[in-house]
Amino acid sequence: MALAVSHLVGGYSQIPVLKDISFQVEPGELVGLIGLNGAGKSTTINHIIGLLTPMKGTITLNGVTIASDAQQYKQQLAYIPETPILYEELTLKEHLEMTMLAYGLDQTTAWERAHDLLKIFRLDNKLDWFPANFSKGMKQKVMIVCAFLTDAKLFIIDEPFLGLDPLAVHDLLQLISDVKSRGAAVLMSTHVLDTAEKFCDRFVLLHAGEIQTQGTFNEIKAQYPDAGDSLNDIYLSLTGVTRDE
Amino acid sequence: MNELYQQRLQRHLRQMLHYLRLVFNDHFVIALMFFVGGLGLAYSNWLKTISTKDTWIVVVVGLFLWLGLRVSRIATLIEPADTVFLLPREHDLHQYFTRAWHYSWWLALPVQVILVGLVAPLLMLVDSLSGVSLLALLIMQVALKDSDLTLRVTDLYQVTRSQRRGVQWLNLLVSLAIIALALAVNPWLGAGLALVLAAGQRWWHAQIWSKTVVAWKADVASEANRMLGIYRFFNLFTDVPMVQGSVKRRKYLDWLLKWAPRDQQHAFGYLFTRGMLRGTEFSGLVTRLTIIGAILLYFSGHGWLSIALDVIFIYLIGFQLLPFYKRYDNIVFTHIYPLAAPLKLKNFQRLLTIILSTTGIIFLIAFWLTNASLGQVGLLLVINVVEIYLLVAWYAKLRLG
Repeated sequence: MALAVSHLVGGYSQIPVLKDISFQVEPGELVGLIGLNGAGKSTTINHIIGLLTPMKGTITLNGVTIASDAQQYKQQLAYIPETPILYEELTLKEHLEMTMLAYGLDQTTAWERAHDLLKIFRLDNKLDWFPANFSKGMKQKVMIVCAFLTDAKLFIIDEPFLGLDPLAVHDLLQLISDVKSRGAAVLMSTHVLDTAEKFCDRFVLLHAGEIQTQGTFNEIKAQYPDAGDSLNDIYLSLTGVTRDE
Repeated sequence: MNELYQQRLQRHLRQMLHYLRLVFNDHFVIALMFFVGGLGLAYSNWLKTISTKDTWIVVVVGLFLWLGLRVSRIATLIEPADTVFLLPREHDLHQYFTRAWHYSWWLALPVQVILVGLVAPLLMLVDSLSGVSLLALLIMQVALKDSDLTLRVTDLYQVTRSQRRGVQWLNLLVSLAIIALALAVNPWLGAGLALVLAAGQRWWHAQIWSKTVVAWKADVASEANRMLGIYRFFNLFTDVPMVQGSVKRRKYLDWLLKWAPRDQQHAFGYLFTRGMLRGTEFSGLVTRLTIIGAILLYFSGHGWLSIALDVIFIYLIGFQLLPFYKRYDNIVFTHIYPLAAPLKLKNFQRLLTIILSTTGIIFLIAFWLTNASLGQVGLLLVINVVEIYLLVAWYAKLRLG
């Protein structure tokens, strides 16, 4: 397996937000991390990308943990944050170069890939601009380009669909399926359940810091036959939120 | 609306007072008194050399008064959030702007009085102007400023661009003409015309404001700009949190970047050098301190004083650059790059060495220009090398490592 989170207890302060979480993401698989605001999605992600240290439990990425070999662990990981984060002083071109340098990518092949990605997201004529002044959607596209520039084995994508135009959403889903087919694992957190239902291979449903259920859509549906037909319905009934009908 | 402006004005004045206290500390006041006294003395000495033949001075005075009209703007104290929260009460905003107008008027008055006061002795010498005529000149200047401010209030509303441009230029040109008439023909004529102009501007404003809408975006931008100017001034003397260094592309400096190594070992260096060159905060600090240091060094001879200055300034620059190390800590990617932990510090030390060495070399040149002997220059060189080594290799590591 690519990513294995096992018995993770963690959070920002002494009081754990996450209570004993275990799940895996296999190579070539897109796993949706679903949960309400405050359910613990971002905390989980922050643990996986190494910003937070687990209080208990382990996070392994192809057999490596941060504690055993931080560099090797981070080399395998690419992250797209929910809110785009950019260097104010770097141009778009330099953002890409910075990523290439930081991940030690070969410049020629990386630039070939970069140009393809820039073309897809219609950024190829903005190489000398400061992305810090872009609109939210365009900033997000820069984040996507930087992440997919790497040869990561695990992509962590935090709520990618808000702010992107429909064309870009389509292109992002295509990119995800491309990296999946070369064997990369993708963990994506989102609130857009319709899209998630269609594209994710498996789901991890978080609620109040615990895993409520996990599995493929059909498995989950079989588990809760009365909850409804769509991921949306199932999720709402699981979290105990009453629906107005 | 009246209360809103009152509240904001109080908060604004409190803030200004807070910063003014910091700026005008005891040392600065004493220095300022000497400075103003020196200027006054120079001015009065210069006055003695002037005779009635120097008529060109009248032209300069006229331009001076004309340009002086542009000093001080309308303090609207409008905030970005107002575009949302005050939008429903847009019509009432005129009251608010009127209050702003009053405040700005009283703020502008002393400036204009001082301007007229400054040129009064010149005019009395060259034009042999009487005291009463000076009063007329003062009335003219205040009336012109009044019309300028009224126009600025009108500009807070959405007037078409061509209309705005036209009226602005007209106001500027008419002001200049009135000043010229007052100085060349009769001050009372100028005062009368200026009052007519001011009344005209007020009439136009009354005609137009209720028929149009507030130019929110432009107003917010110009107020932000005005405040930034004030904060920048304070920032010369003390730390103002509102002044966040802006970023400039500075393409002409790109050649410096060509020399920097580009590989995984220097990824942070790639970031640091660009941030340093394009951010205004730290680069401005280095440039200012280097220039001031070099000038002081040049004027302080080649004794112990200059060596002390050299050591202090290099230390000051190095010391104040240390926070730059943490500049990108809030960017999550710097934590998740697969880079060995010590690289960041190493890259930073490298940049620090380059900057401090450049400063050191400039200081050496300034010192050498004072006709210091080669031995003394060599001594300073050794001192610089030792100091930079200690700062970078030992002190920076201690503080940041």
